[in-house]
Amino acid sequence: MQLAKYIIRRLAISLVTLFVVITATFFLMNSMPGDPFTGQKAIPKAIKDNLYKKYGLDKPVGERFVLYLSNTVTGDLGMSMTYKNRKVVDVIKQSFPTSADLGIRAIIFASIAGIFLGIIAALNHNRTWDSVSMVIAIIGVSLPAFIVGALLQWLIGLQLNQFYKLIVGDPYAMLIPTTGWDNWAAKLVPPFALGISALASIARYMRTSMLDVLNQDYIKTAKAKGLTKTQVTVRHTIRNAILPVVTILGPMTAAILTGSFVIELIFAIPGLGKFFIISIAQNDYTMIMGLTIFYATFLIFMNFVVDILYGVIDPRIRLAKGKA
Amino acid sequence: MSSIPKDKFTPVPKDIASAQKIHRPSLSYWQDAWRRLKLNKVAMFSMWFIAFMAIVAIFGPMLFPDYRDNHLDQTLLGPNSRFWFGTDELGRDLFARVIRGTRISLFIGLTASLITTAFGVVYGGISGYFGGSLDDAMMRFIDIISTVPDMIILILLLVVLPQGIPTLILAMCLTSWSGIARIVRGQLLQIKEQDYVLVARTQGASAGRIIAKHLIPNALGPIIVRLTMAVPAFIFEEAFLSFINLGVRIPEASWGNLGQSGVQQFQQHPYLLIFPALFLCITTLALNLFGDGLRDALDPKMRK
Repeated sequence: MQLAKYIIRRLAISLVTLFVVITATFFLMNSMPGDPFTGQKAIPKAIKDNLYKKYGLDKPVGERFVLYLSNTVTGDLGMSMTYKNRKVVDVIKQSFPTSADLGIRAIIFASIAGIFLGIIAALNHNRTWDSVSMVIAIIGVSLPAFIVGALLQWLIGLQLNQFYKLIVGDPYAMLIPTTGWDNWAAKLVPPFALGISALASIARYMRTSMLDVLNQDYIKTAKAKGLTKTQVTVRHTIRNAILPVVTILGPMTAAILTGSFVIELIFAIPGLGKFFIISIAQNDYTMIMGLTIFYATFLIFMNFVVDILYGVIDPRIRLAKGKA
Repeated sequence: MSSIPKDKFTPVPKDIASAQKIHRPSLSYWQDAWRRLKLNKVAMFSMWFIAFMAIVAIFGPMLFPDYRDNHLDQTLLGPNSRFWFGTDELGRDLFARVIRGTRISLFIGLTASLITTAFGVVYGGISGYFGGSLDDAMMRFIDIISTVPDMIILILLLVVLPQGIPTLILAMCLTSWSGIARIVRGQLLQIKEQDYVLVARTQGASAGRIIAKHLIPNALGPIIVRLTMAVPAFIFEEAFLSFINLGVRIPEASWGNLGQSGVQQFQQHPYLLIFPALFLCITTLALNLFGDGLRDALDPKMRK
């Protein structure tokens, strides 16, 4: 009962948020001066009127908003204004899987490496490995994705492959390509560049959480009843410490998503992020609106899932939030 | 056992005056925090580094003012004795641009953090102090605001709003004040139940006075830590926005847009990225380390 109430509450908040985002997006885009047909060349009025009609821009704002809302709910996000006859939804269908592939690889890499680093740091609290892990983590937070991306591309894409070409003697040989997304080797470097900041925050979070658990009485009990060090660490410490890390999955997804805009552009990966940035540069405003709403929905959904997940895993959170 | 003489067991006379004496100097919260911060070498080093960068940001552009002058006969030169960091594709002096970028980036980071914090403190302060249904309403609003993906809305705002640094700062503040408001509220909910607040209230202090004199100063530790951590976050955000062409516009320089143009020519002219990137990374690193040190110093739980 408690859980159902909690889920309904979260769901209601998510839906309200989504509505706010859709409304804000629509009216913000509407308040923009000019329109997609304002170009360098003056367009004859008859043509302009027809264009307005085709894209529904001749109707009053209120009517357009209602129409937009109902279209959005049914999953129709309109047509691109710069690519002829391409639906926004088709663009999403075509390129989001690539972005998702990149993002999932980055999250897997960041989670495994981050949790590992955090565990190492906590188990060696205030010793060399603790400092080393935390230095890695804090450097990870201080490097923007575009710098990591460019550096890796230079180091691996240019230098390493140059070296490899010399050894093999084939001027077209590539050890690890750093552009595109069409073979397994090309999928190695971008997730690494994308995941590095998430890795850093996971490591720091995991460390704090581990240290917290290590001070608990049940760890003392576990040691006292004669469990081996491995058993205490794996069964009692890590298992309990990993729970709070679930909470940062939400913000992390958001960070990975925005990071993917940059990484996809640098590594020439045909994902949705690249499309989004290009549509911003081209003022393709149905596309911007559509992708904004898509991204917002996706992130709100992810947050919802993480909240529910956490509520299920840790009942204390559910009760505390219910009270507040 | 028997060798201890009896006269060793005479009681020490009770001296009430010396028992009341305070032997160690009494330290206020801030003195104590400062003492602890001084022990943290990394944080202190970062602090001096940040102070140095602040001086560079304030006085540097006065000494090297020609950040937007083109030298079209000297484009894309590597670092040399005249142009210390080389020149870009329009022959602009990269050193002067990086120095100018230091001012702009730090200015954006600091102003955005201060505005966000000020607004968050007021919002969280009102919500936490008055509590009840007002608090409920204000917190529901924050729940909704904070579920909205910041970066997506920020991009949208910047697409729509007229360009310029003030709009950039405004848009960044609009999308990031909810975290600090929550922290302040949480702090106030704890502090307002303390006895000294009750005393102030029985003596007839007004709500404004209690908030300003008792609640905010006692909640200041976490607020300052949050403020310090927000500066590098905003500098990063500007860099990201510059990368997707929504940040500071050329010919104005910021670490973000210098890095962005550096990335595009990185394979041929690595110095165009390396110098601004070094400034950006080392400064954000120092700010993060200092923020960490500050948190350790201000956290009352660390007190012994």
